[in-house]
Amino acid sequence: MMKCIKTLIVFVAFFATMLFTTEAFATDWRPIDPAHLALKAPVVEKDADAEAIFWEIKVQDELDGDTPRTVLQNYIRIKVFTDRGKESQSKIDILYRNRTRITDIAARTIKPDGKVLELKSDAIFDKTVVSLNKIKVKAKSFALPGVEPGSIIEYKWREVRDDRLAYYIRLQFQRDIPVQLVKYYIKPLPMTSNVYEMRYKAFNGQTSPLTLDREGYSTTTMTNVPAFREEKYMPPEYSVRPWILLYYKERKDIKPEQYWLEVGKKTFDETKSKMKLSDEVRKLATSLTEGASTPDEKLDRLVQFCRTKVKNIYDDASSLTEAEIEKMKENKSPEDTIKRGAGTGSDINYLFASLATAAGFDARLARVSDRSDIFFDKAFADDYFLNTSDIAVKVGDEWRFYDPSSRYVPQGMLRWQEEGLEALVSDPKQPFFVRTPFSSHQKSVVKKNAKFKLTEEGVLEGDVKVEYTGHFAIEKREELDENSLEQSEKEIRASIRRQVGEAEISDLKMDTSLDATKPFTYSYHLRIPAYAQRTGKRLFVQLAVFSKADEPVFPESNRIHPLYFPYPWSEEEDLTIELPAGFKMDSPTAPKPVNAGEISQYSTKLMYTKDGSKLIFKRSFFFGGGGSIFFPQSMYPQIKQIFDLVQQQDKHTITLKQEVTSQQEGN
Amino acid sequence: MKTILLICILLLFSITASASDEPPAWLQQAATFGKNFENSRVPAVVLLKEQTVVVNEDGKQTTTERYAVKVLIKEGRAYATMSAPYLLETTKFKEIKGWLIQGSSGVKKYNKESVLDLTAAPNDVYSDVRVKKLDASDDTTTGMIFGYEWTTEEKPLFNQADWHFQNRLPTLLSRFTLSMPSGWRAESVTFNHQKIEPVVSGSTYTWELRDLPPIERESASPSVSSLTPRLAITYFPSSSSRTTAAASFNSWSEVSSWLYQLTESQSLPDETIKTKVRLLIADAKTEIEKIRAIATFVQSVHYISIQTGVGRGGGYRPHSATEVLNKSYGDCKDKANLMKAMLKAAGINSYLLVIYSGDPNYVRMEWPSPQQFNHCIIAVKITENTVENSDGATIVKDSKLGQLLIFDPTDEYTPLGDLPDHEQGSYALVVSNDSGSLLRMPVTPLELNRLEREVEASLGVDGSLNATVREKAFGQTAVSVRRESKQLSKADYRIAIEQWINRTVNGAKVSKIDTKDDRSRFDLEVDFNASRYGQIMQDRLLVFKPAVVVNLSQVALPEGGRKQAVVLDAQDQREEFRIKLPEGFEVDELPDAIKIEAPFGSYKTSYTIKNGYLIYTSHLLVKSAMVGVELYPAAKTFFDKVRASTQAPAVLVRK
Repeated sequence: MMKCIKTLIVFVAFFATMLFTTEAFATDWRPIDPAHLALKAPVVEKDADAEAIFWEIKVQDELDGDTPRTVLQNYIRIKVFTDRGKESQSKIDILYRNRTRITDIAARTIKPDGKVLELKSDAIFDKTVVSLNKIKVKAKSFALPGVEPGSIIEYKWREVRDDRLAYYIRLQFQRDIPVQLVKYYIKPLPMTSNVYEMRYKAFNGQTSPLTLDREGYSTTTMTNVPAFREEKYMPPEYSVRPWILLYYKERKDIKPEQYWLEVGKKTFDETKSKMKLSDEVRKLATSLTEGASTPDEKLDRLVQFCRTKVKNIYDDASSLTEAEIEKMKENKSPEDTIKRGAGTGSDINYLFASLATAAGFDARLARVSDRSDIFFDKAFADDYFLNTSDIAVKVGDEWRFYDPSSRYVPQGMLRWQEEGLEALVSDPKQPFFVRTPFSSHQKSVVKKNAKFKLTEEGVLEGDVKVEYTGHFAIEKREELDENSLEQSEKEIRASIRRQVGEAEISDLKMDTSLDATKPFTYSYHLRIPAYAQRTGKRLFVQLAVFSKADEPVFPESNRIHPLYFPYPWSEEEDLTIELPAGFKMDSPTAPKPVNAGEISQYSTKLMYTKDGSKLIFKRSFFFGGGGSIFFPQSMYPQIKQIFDLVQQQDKHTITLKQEVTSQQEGN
Repeated sequence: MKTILLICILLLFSITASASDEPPAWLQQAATFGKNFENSRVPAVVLLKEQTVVVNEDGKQTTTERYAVKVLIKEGRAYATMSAPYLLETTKFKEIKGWLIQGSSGVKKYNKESVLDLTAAPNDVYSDVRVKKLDASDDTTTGMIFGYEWTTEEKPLFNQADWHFQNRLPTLLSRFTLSMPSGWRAESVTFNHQKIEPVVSGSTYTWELRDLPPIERESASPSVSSLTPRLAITYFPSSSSRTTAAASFNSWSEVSSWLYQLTESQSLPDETIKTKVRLLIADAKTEIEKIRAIATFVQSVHYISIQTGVGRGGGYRPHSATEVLNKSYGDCKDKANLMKAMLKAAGINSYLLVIYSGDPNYVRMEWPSPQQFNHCIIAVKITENTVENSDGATIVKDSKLGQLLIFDPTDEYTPLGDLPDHEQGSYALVVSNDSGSLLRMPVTPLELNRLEREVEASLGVDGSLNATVREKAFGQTAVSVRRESKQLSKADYRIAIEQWINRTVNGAKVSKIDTKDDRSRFDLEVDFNASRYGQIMQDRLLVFKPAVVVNLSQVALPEGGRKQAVVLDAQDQREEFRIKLPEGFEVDELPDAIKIEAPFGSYKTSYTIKNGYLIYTSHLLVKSAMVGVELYPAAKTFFDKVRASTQAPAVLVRK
């Protein structure tokens, strides 16, 4: 991609015949509409504390001599309705970095009575927020004078990005406050040739079609844009907020199908040498797969080799310092990677691909997107979002995906960010899309086994064993990489307390094995002092011990965004509780099941020993069955209800009644 | 802020390596200190923490700081950093160097190209206060030793210095050395430790402590500045010295007078101020009404901080009152100063009052120094008549200045007549030309900060619940709920209330949220319902918790030993839950009523059945107190019982 932009800049510098003078930045303000000054309530969102009446941004690529640059001119007018709006909107920081200049700042406040307070130039501060050697992040900062509820504030500035073009830049339509009108004016670099053109792609919103104005700007607008708010379990930000991707591309009309064919072929060509077979690779593949009877066994061995014998230099577990990484030479081939026993994530994947090829498999590089950034749509013919890769290997008739560079990903899985996506499998002739696997809820399970004893004072005490698989295990192991054992233990203790409330946790033992083929486990001794509630003659015991202190997942009644869970999961609990002597269960019942069909199910089983001295409680829950991890906002009440009902059932208690002894009877 | 943090992280990653170099002798020597150090409970050990200040005859000083830390476990990497605050215009860094002794991998050296320079106050529109930061944590692993040395030159504002002998980490050697021209002398005060006597050699004084144990983090513990050994030093030129630049203080009245000279001219009311004041107090009939009108206006002035010329006293000098009024924004001293000017225009005298915000125990009487303060409020001189007609909660009597009404115009949620809790009980200095002294700030009575909660609820035969919560919050309790309601948007406030109710009532649907705020009291009314609150058992029992809602911030003290005192915030919480019981049920069991008395508070509950209602009352009283370690078990039992009582169930049985 860098090569493309360099080519483009050279091309433009050479062929451009017209030098553009910078448009004088107007310091005159547009007239204030008295209706806006009189406005008492927001238009877009009724409870907004402030609302932008308009926000206009001119984006222009131009030449300064031979040097290209992007100039962005922002002009925003905001109506302040409340003190909160005053607090949040009247202090402005415009951040900028090296090779960027902020000029022509102007700002003013129009008081509710129409009095205008201009920002004086000495009230604009240029501060270095942070600098390191020659790299600087600076800010132009100012506070608007005299702001009060009812005021209108407006400000504008010019941002000049030197030596760059608007090449894959993301333009926003949403702010922290609602906006009545957002308008972009876009002017590409004038070019005499027809080779390149500026393009834009709008996401997640209804922007108006581009129209050309008299000054040569293409304009697009969006009206009544609500404020952006984050919510728990929401899709990635760039899949929900409206924005535009601005970029340059060769001027040719190409259909997506054709485009992906070209990209897939190009990828194949570019990666061919990096996956090159050599005698060394062949020998290694032969020795590694010797005696393996099935394709799966062979591939597992190759993955294991890549994970255990080659150090991923960017992995936290590598323990390499930055200085050591910098000293390392670049691996130019799989042979280099074998020799050095270390490499980047890509080096490791290329090595795996070449070993697989040497072992007789068809192995290719597959380009995938990252669904923690955005949901990929192949109808958009550009590879901007295919920013990561895995290795696709053909086994029988199906393509399987491997990522040996991610050392904690179990076989048959990918990192959740890459699961369930269209992957472009490279090919010299006919590249194609294949969907990456999507791990079911049975793959990512948290299991808890516990044997407890309850005392008549309500103290619950016993031993617990916890086991994580799938994506849970990946996350836990990555945390362990980051932290010391002591810190990891501290975090586990905190997480136990979040589940059970105040408790004493002792004898915590963690299996620190980093073997991705095994579950991540730990065990501990737990004592919860006031677990069961005691009344005069009864003890009330919540069966779902590990949900004792759970907070509701979705306490909010309203929802803005769709719901999106990173991956499906299951929870399995198996508890035995020895009851205190002198107490017996009083017609105990199990929590009721919650059935949401394929999506989610909650069920429990309550059993007890014949003599009634012990109870056995099994709890089972899963969510995301059938790959259902995305739900439109309209389904919020139903999803909320599932979690509310589960929590309600988890709070279910049984009664233990004190047995009346003969002595008590006598009294 | 997120953006700034991200940028800092990106920049940190771009730190480049330098060639290996021998560490200096002092660091090599410090490295030997920690050879036998063992403590698996701490992330790192400080081998050396040392600062040397050399004062010249002209008042200029050269400061050198040396520091060495050994990383013991992974988390200790975070301590392989340097953070050196400085003032942009008046401090000059002569040298900054860092070394990482990597054991067998050699030594990595860091020079000034590796040092981040960043603003110390990113939220200020502008500030001269900056920080030099060196972060070697990414290069560090367990067992490595990180050290740094920096040297600055500056002409300080005061002939004073303070030195914290340690932070939280164990520290093997901590030393502060002050070297002055011949004939100069220094006086020191020690905090949080027995008096540390300096070793004096000529005009060089050295204070030193060794083998300081770690200060562990414990919940509800005092601030680290109340625990770490600290040194406060004032030094005095010789009588023949020609230096006049920096100030040395012998007494609080000198500090007060110095501040007065810096601030007084900024509070002269001009015609703009006078006109505004006339408008504000037009309807005010009494002195207190005039003060209130002005106070409320100044509270509404937007808090915005612009700190320029800090090295020349700018951090203590407010912008002129007229400028602040015109811009309608300012920081704490700007707002207090504007209020002073406005009161003057109304014919009422007042004084700026400097204080430390955030820790009432921070300011110590033994060290007269402006450096002990970080905040500015106001003391308004009031007449006896005003005193007699008020509750007197925030009035202090000064022997020279008379009755003073204390007020913080920066805290927009604490009305006149009240004082933010983190300032109550603290020392504050009255700024006056000749009558300034250190005053102990008032502590408002518990009942003025009470919370009254009434819950009217109806329990259905199926366990459903309809409830109305009515709260009346007073004083500082009102401030915390007021702050939440004012700072959060309407949507976010609703979410906060829903989260609160749902903590105890699963699946609750909130149908109404009403608030009313008359500044002296904050009222909240919430209606909600839930389909299943009580649990039906065996089709005959109905079990539920009478404490339908609980406070979000309950004190929870963990098991185990305790090393530090427990800091308790004052609470006076009175609750009454009236729960209409479902037809066809009668009470089978109720929780036992509780009555607990402790030196730091009391708690009592009661349960009554009357006219088909279960009436549950509770009253929690906690004094603002520092509870000693010896009382920790008692404090833990007290708060465990309080929490358990909110969980206690009532049992109804079908008739």
